[in-house]
Amino acid sequence: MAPLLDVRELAVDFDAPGGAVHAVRGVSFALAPGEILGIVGESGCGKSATARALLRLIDPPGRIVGGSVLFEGRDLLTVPAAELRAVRGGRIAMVFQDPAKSLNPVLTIGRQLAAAMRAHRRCTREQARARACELLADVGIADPQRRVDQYPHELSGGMRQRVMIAMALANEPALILADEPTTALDVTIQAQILDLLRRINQEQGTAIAFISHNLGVIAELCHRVAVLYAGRVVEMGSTEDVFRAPQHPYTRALLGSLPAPGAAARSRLTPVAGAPPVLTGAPRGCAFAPRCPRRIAVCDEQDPQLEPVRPAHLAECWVAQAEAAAPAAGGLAS
Amino acid sequence: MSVGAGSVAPRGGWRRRRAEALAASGAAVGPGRLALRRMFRNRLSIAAVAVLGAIVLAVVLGPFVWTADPNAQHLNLAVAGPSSAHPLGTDTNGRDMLARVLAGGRVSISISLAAVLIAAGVGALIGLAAGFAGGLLDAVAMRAMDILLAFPSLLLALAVVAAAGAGVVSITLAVAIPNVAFFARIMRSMVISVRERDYVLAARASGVRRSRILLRHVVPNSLSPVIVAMALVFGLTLLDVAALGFLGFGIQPPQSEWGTLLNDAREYLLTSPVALIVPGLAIALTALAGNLVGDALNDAFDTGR
Repeated sequence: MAPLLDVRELAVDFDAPGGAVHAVRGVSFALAPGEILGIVGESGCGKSATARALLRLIDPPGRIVGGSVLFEGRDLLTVPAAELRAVRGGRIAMVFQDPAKSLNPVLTIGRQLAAAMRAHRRCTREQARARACELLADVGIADPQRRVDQYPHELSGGMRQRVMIAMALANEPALILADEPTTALDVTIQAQILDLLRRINQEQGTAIAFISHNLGVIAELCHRVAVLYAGRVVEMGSTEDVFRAPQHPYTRALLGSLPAPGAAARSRLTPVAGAPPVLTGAPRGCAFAPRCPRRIAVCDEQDPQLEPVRPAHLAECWVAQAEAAAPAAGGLAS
Repeated sequence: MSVGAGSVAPRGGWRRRRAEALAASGAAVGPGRLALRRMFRNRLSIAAVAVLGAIVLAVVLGPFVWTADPNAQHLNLAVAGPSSAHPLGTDTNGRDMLARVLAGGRVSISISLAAVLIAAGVGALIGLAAGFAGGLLDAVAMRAMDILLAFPSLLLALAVVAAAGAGVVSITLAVAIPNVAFFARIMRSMVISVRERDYVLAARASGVRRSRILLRHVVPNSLSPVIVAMALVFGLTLLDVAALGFLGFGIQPPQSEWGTLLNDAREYLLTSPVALIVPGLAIALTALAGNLVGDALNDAFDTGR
């Protein structure tokens, strides 16, 4: 199937006094219609910058410096502003991390839902209100007739996020970009929101790009996963492959740092050693090399590229690629 | 709040009852109503609003109740002390002081009010444009405001009156112009902060037009400090109007105005102190009430965050 969204070599810089910070350094991934792709990585790895860049929502001092975002046959990075506006909220909707901050405190829920609709089609006040109630009911808000006239501060955090999702659904988009939509919520509400997203995906066939630093959430929801590190996709594959047989040392370290369900209560967690690199200037070699337990000489010299190491499973790692090419020579790592 | 134990229970009682009634009615509580509710929780705020309301009511309705002509001269009664016919006495021309104070208040307060509205309106528009557009427009507009702020406000007002004459319109503009920069700065800083809020980003991400974002999201969320400043500036403007009047650059005789009254009363200070005290007190009380209302609004809107 032709991909719905095809991102190629996307690059975003943030201008800073000490020189540009390369927050996103050539991210490529594709999303099929109806697919849920998880984008995972630690703080500052370029997750949010990537999501925002897809809709050209990067503000100065940030700027998109390269790549293409092919969506429904057009490159969103070059389409004229009017066309881009039609895509924003129309074909691609976005859900943000903190629903308390993403809703305007001075407008009722209904008016904000109506605004999202009326940005894309003409409809009367009554139609907008009726549709707003419908949407609120769809995302599982009880008593939508009353809620629609309330202000954000009168709703709980979980309800606010449901409202944000209702807003995203207002124009039946083909793709929802969810930027850490459950991070600001407590665990039970988190589970409800994940169920809701899964249901939307199944019932309406909406593709979802789900950004999170929470591996558990990703594992539960996503069909495929892209692991981001220092502004690059370092590993990509089906959720099962990536979690069961991680190929990149960073993914392994991430998974290894999770608390194991069976482990003794007082056992220590294993952190990923070191810290992410500072992304000014042009780094040479693999960005993960300084923290990598499996580093070999070439890692410091040349940039690895994202290449298949197993069927439909890609990794940007010299060692993993070498192992894939010569499975017998597994000793190369040490 | 330090309230006697005895008074707590019944007050808590009606508050709870009202809260329950509100909850039962299921009415949505908007931010405006929340702010009002917060404002009327403070006794000083209630007092300030009451005093300001009473003064405004007095100067608006007063002339209908106290029908003496503020400009009618009774030279045989000049500089008389308080009497039943003239509760505040008369001035050098035998004009009724109570009528003159009431008429003067109308002038002082309406000029101040108009000046505040003009300054806030023009200032907020400049601030909005500068803050939202940024870049060159922002730089040029804000440097212009800096220049405006470099002049002492009364001196600037005097210069405007000197250039344009001492009519009601020119006096209003004279006291309004120095405050434009103040409002522009407040609005600009709010717009710059609101512009970066997540709901603005969310609106952009859902394809809402820039003009709509400006009108629906940026303006309403930037206004509360401007409203607070309007109350504060009202008090200061009243003082400016009175100062112009006192210096003889304000409203010209025979029309009455609080600052002009003060200037007139200076001459017979010893024989009729009440003619000096009453307009002086009116100016001070109105300005003070304006400031207190400003503080109350500030607390109510929670702008000090």
